[in-house]
Formats: sequence, structure tokens, C-alpha cells
Amino acid sequence: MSLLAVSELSKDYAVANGAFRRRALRAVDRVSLDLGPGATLGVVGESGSGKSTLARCVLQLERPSSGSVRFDGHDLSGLHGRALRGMRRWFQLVFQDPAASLNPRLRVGATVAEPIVLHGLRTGATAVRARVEELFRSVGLGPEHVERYPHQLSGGQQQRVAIARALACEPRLIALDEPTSALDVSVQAALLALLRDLQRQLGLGYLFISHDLAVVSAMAQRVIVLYLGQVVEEGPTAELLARPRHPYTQALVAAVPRDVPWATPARLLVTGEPGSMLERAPGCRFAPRCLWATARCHAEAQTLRSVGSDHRTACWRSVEGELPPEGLSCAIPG
Amino acid sequence: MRGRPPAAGPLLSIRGLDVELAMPRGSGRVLAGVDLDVDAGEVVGLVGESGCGKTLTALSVLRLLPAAARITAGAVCFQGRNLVTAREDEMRGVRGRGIAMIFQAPRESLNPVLTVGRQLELVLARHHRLGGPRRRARAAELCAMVELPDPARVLRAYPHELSGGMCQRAMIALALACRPALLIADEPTTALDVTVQLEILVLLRRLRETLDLALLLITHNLGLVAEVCQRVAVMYAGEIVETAPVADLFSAAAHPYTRRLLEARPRIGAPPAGEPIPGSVPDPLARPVGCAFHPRCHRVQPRCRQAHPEPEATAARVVRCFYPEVASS
Amino acid sequence: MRRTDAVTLIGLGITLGLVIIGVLAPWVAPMDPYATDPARALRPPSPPHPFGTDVFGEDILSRVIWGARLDLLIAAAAVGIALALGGLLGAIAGFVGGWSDEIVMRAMDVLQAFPNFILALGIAAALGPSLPNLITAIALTNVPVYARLMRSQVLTQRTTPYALAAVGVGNPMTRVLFVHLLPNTWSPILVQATLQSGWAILQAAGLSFIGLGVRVPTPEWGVMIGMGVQQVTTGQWWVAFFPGLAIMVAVAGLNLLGDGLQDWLDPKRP
Repeated sequence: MSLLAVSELSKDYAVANGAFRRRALRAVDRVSLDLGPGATLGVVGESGSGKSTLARCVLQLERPSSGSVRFDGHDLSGLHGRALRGMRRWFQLVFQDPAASLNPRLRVGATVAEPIVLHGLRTGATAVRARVEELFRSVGLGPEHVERYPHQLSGGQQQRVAIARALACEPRLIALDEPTSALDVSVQAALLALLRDLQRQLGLGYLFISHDLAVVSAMAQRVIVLYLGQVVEEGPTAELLARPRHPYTQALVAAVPRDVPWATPARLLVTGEPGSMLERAPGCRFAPRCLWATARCHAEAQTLRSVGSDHRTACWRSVEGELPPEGLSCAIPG
Repeated sequence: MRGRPPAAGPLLSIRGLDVELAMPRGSGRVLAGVDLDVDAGEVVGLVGESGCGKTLTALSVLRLLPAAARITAGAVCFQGRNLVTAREDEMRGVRGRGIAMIFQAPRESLNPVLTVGRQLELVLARHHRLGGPRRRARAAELCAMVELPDPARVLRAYPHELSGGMCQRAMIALALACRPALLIADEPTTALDVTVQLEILVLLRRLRETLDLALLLITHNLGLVAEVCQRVAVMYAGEIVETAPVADLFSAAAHPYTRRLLEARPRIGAPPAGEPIPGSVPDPLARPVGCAFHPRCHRVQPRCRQAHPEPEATAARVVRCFYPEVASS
Repeated sequence: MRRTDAVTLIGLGITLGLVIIGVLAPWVAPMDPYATDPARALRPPSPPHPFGTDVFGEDILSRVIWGARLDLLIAAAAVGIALALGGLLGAIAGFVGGWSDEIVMRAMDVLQAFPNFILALGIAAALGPSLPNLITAIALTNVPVYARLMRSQVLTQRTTPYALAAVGVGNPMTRVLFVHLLPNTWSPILVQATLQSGWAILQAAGLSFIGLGVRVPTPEWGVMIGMGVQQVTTGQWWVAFFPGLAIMVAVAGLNLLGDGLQDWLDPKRP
């Protein structure tokens, strides 16, 4: 039984269009994903891809406009009020900006203690306090940090507190929205190691959202790639990054800085910016920027199709073998 | 390369720069003995994590430090002048004209109430005193130079109407309006998507060649540095701990901090990174005695705890360490 | 000591000083504020009347001291009521949104469409001059300020990651509002309340001055200025001067305190 099964999830926002009309902005467009217990699914996308919105909808911090989210078999869309609050302890979210995700007026110990008390996981002040200290230790912080305020901690420490708060619920799934983007490289490395350890010890499932392919490659066994709210490719991480089967994924992989200096020809496979989510062109959303686009790409909506074991892409040209597996290496002068 | 006479020495030469920052808890040294050279037309990377002082170094060059920070020692030589002792009106002539700077969050660094075109015109009017039509022509020329799509629309737009990548291009155009000899780029791509980042890097490389521009690229992203730079300086706790040609640095970093930093990065296809660097960056008010990195160093020896290493030059490298790493990793 | 700290302390000192004087008025005032003595009417400042006497022979110093008690009471009560009522309305409007937001805000618009003093005047005139009615009038005219302030604060805090996290760990909405959002909103409101207390004193004095607040011979600074206004032209400046000076000192002290509080309450203060 999968831990998390999301099916055709969409999220629309009403946006003012002129003085009186409204249009729907589809931030997430029929995304499906599947996560097993103890596994990590990476969600990759750039700004505007809808990845943060997806996380919030999966965790019911915003209600999806359509589609279903099943956690351990339970359909979350039917839950409200107290029933939903009770379920919340099973899935938690760690945010991108650690400082903003902690209440500045509460000591961090109180922030971590709150879920323990809310869900009745320990009774009595002493037991709660002991549990808080245990959680702090498990994320690499000491008891001296318990009485501090968030602004007295460094970014890395704040993020550890946020992880401790998530763990306080004793969840089975943690969604992490760019958890290390705001942090330095050395701090990031330590945090990722911590997350891997916790997963091993506690059997947690992770939904790991990031724009950084290297980080995703270190953390996730499977990856889905989002572009303008749609899944364009999904598959095992190593396979997908070594042999990307969608032009957008190829462009992303090519754009990652390499350690080979200066002499490498530029690998600019995509230019410009993603289009607006308001435009509802019928065909593939990536077509306007795609080097391989044909008339059919612009006209026909794309669906995910298999190109290997458990590897699917939304590019028909790739499915039919018209794309070289490594993509095109444009030798742009300079 | 256009007609610049060959330079006698480096274009920019920072020597022994010390900066103190006054904080409510006390005064601490945030830059200590910084030495850095940039030759004409060269691309130099300045790398370090947050709090290491790399942005302060750049601000010191242009004398744009916040009020609480003071330069207490050292010299910054640019085109034969020491900028530390220059008068304010001399500095105004250097800023924008001799040395220009672009910043991290492009949308926030542009004036939100002026259109991009107006901001360009203001810079051109300030430094070049061009007439109206010639200013507009030059503005259009600059837009083309930074490869802005649809220049007419961009010039009429306000910063919040443009994407991050376009704002960054606009800022580069502003910086290059007066043909500076040196461009300092402080984390120019950190706030941008990775595909846009690559475009901006390609643009910077191209501009460097067509304009014979020297570039000082400040970043915490080591991968970027490998793409763009010829030489790299690594900073830690306000000091430059290693300077080397980029290929040498990546194949065989000498300073233990550099070595660990390179290893700590997650890489596609590589197994997850090994031991992260223990501990944290020292408080400027409580600098360790001896080497600034010794509390966190895996090669620490007794001497490191007592004596402070000075920069040692060998071949093309400079390393601030008593026991540098040797050979390849 | 930093300049802002010094400023806060001066404001605090003045305000506390006035509060103490007001509380201890029965013991601090040298004479009964209502004791009239026509034989000593309109004496200039001289012992035993350091502030002189008014047209009824009452000692102005004692009346100013008792006035501190009354005016500070009026200000505290009026601002307190306005803050509680306005804050509650604003919190509901900001947190619940939708129709309740529209209704509350349009009601506030109606109240704010009148010039502040005219509105107080209207309410006081309708209710009749008395102490409770004075407080009510001032409170009502100040409700919109707090409602708007609280609403905008709640709206800002509601979309922060920590508020979302509070929902995410399973807090019911009421806890999110009271435990997480409100403590992060009251800092600017407290500052505003302190600054507005000065204004409330001016309003009370103004209304009493024109006879719509407390009446003669109550020792209230506004009333006293009203009584002394005619005497200014005939040379007895002290009757209106000292209560006016008292108002100025009180308002200045409250303003300084309010300014300083803003820094003091910031949890990120080093």
C-alpha cells in the first residue's frame, strides 16, 4: 500500500482579468504521484513550476481544486475540521525559509512542544519536556538551544528546529520544500546527512522538492519533473539524470554548472522564461521554448508515456526515438 | 580586444585590507589582511560562505560600506590611485565609470518607481552628458548588448513587470553603460533559476570578450566559479585562505577548508557527500587564536592553534596554511 | 546609553510621574480642589498658591493635580475600550475575511468619514455631558484606527510560513489566531495606543472645554482652560496656562514613551 497516492491533482486560482472578469490560473495541472513508505520522491522544477503549490495541496494546507490525495489509503479531501487536524500529524511540511517558518515570539522549545501536546503524544509537562530535549538531540541540537528564540539561532540551526517540529508529530511522511536552498554548502551537506539518517532510523517517507538536481540526486530514488504545473517526466533518479528523455529535463541537466573549467562549450538548451500559466495553448506547454518543437507539439496535448522501466515522459518525439538520449549540445560561441 | 594600452600591473590590487564592524556587542574585525589582484580583462572568482566577508570586500573597493564598518588598514589600488584614501568626489568618478557593480537580487536593486529606460538614461546623463536622441540610441545599444528580447518594451517597463533574468540583464546594462574597466558581480545568479543562470553566465563571458572587461565574480557556488573564472580566491572568516588558477583549485585544492568545501557539495551521479565540516564560522568578536580555521580543521596541528599563518606563494598559488594538502584528492 | 533608550526613559518617567501624581492626588494636592474662596479669587502664582487661583478662588495647583487623575483615567479607559473593541473587530475581519471583512470595514469607513472631533462632539452631544459619556464618545471615534491596524496586521501574519506551519501541525483556527498571530500583532498596536492616549487627552480636554464633557467645576484640564480663557485677555494668564502646560507635558511624555516602546518591543532587539 503506498504511503501517498496523488491522482490528477489540480489547483486553480482566480485571477483578475481586466476590471470585472476573472480567469483561472492553473498552478498545478493534473499531477499524479506515488510514494512508498520509507522512500524519497524528488519533485524538481524551477520557479513557476507549481512545486510549492503542489506540496501545500498534498498536505491540505490549501485545498486542491480537483483530483484526489490518498494518504495510507484515506482520502484526505473528504476530511475537515477535527478529523483533518487529527490526520495532520502523519504528514508534515518543512519550509524553505527556516527563519520565517518559526514563530518569532515563541521559544523554539515551545514551538517543538506544541504538536506533542496537541496530539496528546506525551502527557505531563516533564514528559513533554523530556521528549523535546530528545528531539533536539536527534537533530543535532543541544538542550541549551531549547530556551532560545529563533533569531538567536543560525539558519542551519533554525532548519533543524523546523525538522524537530516535524518529527514531534511522529509523522510517516515529511514534505520538504527546498529545505536547504537558503543555506550554505557546508550547512546543507550536514542537513542532508541528518535527513538521510532520520529516514533510515524512523522509516519516514520524504517528498523532496528542489530546483537543485544535485541535491535531488543525493536524496531521492525517484524524481518527477514539473514544468508550468505539469509533470513532463518521471522515473528513477539515476536513470533520469543520466539519460533525460524530455527536452526540458535535458535543458535542466545541461544547465547544472560543471567543474570543468572555462573551455567547455556552453550548453544552453533553453532560453527565455517560462510562459505565463494563464495561457492555455492546446499543445505541449514547453513547445514555445523547445528546440525540437513541431506543429504537432503545438497542437496536441501531451500525456505521459513509458520509455523504459518505470520511466515516463510527456514528449512524443522522445517516445518515438526522435530525440538523442543526451540531448543536443549547442555550441554557442563563447 | 579594443584599444586599451597594456597595463603595467594589475588593474585592481587590494593589499592588506582590514575592515572593522561596530556592532552593539562590540567592535570586531570582519576583514583581515585581504590581498587580491585582478588583471585587466581577467575573470577572478571570490568564493566563500555567508559571513566570510566577500561582499564587504567588494563594498570596500567602491567605498560603499555601511556606516558601522570602517577600513582600518590596507590599500586598494585601481588605475594608479589608492581608493581607500581618495576623496569622495574622486570616488564618484570611479563608481560606474571605472568600476561598476551588480547585485544579488536584481529586482530589488533596481529603483522600483522608475522605468528601466529612465534609469539607464540617468546613468548615461550623469557620466556622459549625451543629448536626448543619442542617449536613447545608446540605451537601445546597451539592451542589444545584454541580449534583452524586445528592448522597446523593456525600456518602458518597471522592474516588477520583468522577470528575474531580465532584471539582471537590465542591471548589467546599467553597470556597463559607462564602459567600466572592471565589473564586480555579487552573487548575480543566486536568485535565478538554473537555466536562466546559465544564460547570464554565457552573457558575462561574451561581454568580457567583446568589451575587454575584467570581472570579479563573488559567489558561494563553487560550480559557477569553474564555469566562468580563470582564477579563484577562497575566503574564510574575513581572510583569503587560498588563491589559485581554477583548474588547479578543482583538481588539487591546497587549503583544508577549500578541500572540504569541494567535497561537501552534492554532485549528480556521485554518492552522497562524506563528512560535512564540523562546527561553525567564528564570531568576528571572538576570532580563534592562531589559524581562523583550526577549530574545524581535520589536519590541525599544535602550531595551528598558536601561530597565525601568513599567505605563502608557490608557483601560481597563494595559500594561508601551515600544512596545506598536497597532490590530488 | 543609546539615544532611543534615553528618550524612552524620559517618556516613561513623565508618564509614570503623572500616573503617580494622579493616583496619590488626595495626598499630594495641598488643598481641596473644590474649595472656593471668593476673597482669594484670581491671585497670581505666589505662596500659598504656586499656580495661582481661578475665578472662584480654587487653588489651581491642586486642581491640576486632580486633573491628572481624571484625564489619565479618561484616556486609559477610552483607549482601552477602543483597542478592545476595534482590535476584536479587526481581528475577525482579517482572519475570517469574506463578508465579515466587508461589513466591518464599511462600518469603519462610516465612522471615519466624519472628522474625528466632530464625531466625538456629536456623540457627546447626543448622550449628554457626563464622564461615562465622554469616555464612550472618545472610545467610539478611535475604534476604526485599531480595527484597521489589527486587520492589516492579521492579514500580514496570516500568510507567513509560521502561521501555515501552525496550521500544519494541527492547530485549530482559534489557536492559530490567539496563540500565534495575535502576539505578533500587538506590538504596533500598543505603540499606537500609547500615542493615541495623548490624543485622547486632547479630545477630552477639547470636549470639556466646550461644555460637552465633564462640567465646571470638575477639576479637569480642559474644563480649567475653558474657565481661564476669558481671563487671558484681562491679564490673568495663569488660570489657563497651567492646565495647558499639564496637557502638553502629558501628551509629550506619552508620545516619547510610545516611540521608545516600538524599539523595546521588537524581539529581535540585540
